[in-house]
Amino acid sequence: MYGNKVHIKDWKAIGESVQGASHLRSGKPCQDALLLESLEGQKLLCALADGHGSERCKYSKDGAELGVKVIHWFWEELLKSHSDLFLYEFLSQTKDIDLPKALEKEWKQAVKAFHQKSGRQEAESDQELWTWYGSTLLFILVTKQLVFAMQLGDGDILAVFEGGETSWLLPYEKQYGTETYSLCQKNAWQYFRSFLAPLSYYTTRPQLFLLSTDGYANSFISSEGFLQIGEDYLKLLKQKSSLYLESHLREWLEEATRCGSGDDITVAVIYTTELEKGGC
Amino acid sequence: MQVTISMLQSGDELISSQGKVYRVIALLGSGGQGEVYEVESEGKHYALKWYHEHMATLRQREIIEKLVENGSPDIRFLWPMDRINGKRTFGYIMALRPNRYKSIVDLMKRKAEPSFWALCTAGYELADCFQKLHSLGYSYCDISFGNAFLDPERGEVLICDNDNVVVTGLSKSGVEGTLGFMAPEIVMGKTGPKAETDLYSLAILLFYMFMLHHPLEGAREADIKCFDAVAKQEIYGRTPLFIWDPQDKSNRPIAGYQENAIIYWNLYPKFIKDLFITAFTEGLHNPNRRIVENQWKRAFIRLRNSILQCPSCGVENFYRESDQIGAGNICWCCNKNINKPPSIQIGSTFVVLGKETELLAHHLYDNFDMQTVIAKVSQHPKDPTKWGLNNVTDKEWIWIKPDGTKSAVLPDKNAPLLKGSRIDFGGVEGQF
Repeated sequence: MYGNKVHIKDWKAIGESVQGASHLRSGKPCQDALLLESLEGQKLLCALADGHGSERCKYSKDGAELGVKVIHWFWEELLKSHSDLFLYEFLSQTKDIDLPKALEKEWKQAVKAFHQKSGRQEAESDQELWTWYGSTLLFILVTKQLVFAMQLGDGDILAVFEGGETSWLLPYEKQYGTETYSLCQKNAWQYFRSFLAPLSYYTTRPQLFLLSTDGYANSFISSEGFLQIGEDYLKLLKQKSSLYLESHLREWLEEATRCGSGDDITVAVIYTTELEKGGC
Repeated sequence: MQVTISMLQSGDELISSQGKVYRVIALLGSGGQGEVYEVESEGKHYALKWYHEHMATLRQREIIEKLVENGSPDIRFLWPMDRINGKRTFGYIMALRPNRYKSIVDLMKRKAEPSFWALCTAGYELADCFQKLHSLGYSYCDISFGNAFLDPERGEVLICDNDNVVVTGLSKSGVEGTLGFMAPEIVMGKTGPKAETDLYSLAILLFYMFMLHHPLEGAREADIKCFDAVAKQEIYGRTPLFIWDPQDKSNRPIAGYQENAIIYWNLYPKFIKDLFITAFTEGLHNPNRRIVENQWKRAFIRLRNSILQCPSCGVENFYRESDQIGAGNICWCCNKNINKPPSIQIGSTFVVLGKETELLAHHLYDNFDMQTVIAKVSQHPKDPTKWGLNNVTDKEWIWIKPDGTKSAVLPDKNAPLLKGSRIDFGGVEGQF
């Protein structure tokens, strides 16, 4: 399953991507990409990428699209050869070095292949080519047994717990100005951050995960203000319904970019189906 | 209070088998076997490893009980010191790892950049730690980059996750090891982890530390995807081939993709490369040909003895006292020539004398005493161009000039670094 809305047994997800208000004014397309996918009907995969959009990164919209496609290919292949039983062990052994190296390699190869097919002007070097397609990347995989997330560059992955407590799943990384880590840079793998936790009967689980590109957080005055959205979305799902969220998400994000960052905004809300039962 | 995706939450209280109450402060991390928390008891802070339910086996519990009972071999091991039983799982208490210690992953990601001096010290210390463990009859069973930490300033090391340590031959560990670090015979299912396989994993870890790359990941690895388990088994188990195998060049690292392997290999003197070549050629298939801890220890002391700063650009270089033919040494950074530095030859030991060099008991007596300082390089207080060797022992030395005349060097006095002169340290002689 693939689209703006997916579900597996215990989790559902809704995603939306809007063109930045300033991009709308200047005629730039939305350079974010979103992937929401149910794998084998039991694993929920969500990936977001934010193309840099600068003049140097003239094809970053395609770079972002390729970023989320690489995540799709990657998990499809990985799950062919790794059963659920060994998935956690595999991820715990590879998340720091092998896996980020593989993602960097796959994206750079995908960019090369895409560019060759496109018939676009040739770059003077591989580095120049990758810069043209520069993008951030973040994703989360939620299964019955584990939660796994990785992130390169800006954007946010929040975990929201039963009482509305909200925190970044990956340690908050302060970056200055508009600089961000990118798939296009040399040794990009070194800058991936990851989170892996098994889920057992005794694990305190979040009720909600929120993934967003940085256009969303930058629409808030403070990081505290941004974190508040965790509790707001949780309340909304508890008190209203997922249909309500689904039908309003786009307009809320459009309002956020208009009154806030002016940047493209992509958001994915992944929530436990318990919330739909009016539970918790 | 921050809530985390974990089995325990901040504020939870647990009672240990020794009757102590531990209060959970925060989740520190999650690994393959369990979660690690900072906990507090009676005003002191510790680390608690709390097993994932599916890893909390009876065998693991017995291993922990035995390790707590036996006690730590050395302060460098964050050894289980108390046990805690939960309803469906259990855990153990160990010392907290101070923040100054960084993982090998941090090294790989350049979040920690130790000097070569600190790296050599860490290599020595790691070999020494595992020698100590093995000499007590234990096997570590899972040496990998998640389990060793080093202080990038001083090169001191800490060994974590000691809960898989077992008495060699008597009991079976709860783990097989980490892919990439497991000896080929374990990957192929021919044997389980033991002291001989620890030696293989130690060599991999040392190679990673010094070359920032895996010794078997060359052209073959460049062709596979990280999730291709069959291909990985080929590389690490069925047909492993060292990237710098002198006979078979088919697995050389790829320029532009495996840069570290090429850059760092060229930095080190031949004797270090020879050890790695043995470890990953003969030692791949013949456990008896693996490099033992004493060989690593001697090699890293020798490597540390050879460190000097380039007089032109100031970066650390390894002075090749025997490799040099004609032109001498060239700085790897600025490519300028490095002349032979002030040095002392004590028997077969060659030590470059830099402004902060210390001569240790090991340099004189070859006894691996790396704590006792015998002499320190000193600068003349009035003439900074003159250097000496300060006697920091309580015994008198004899300084023998090139013409054969002798004078005493009392404790806290200095022997001038005069080319061709000698020092009799008391039964052991060194020549400048």
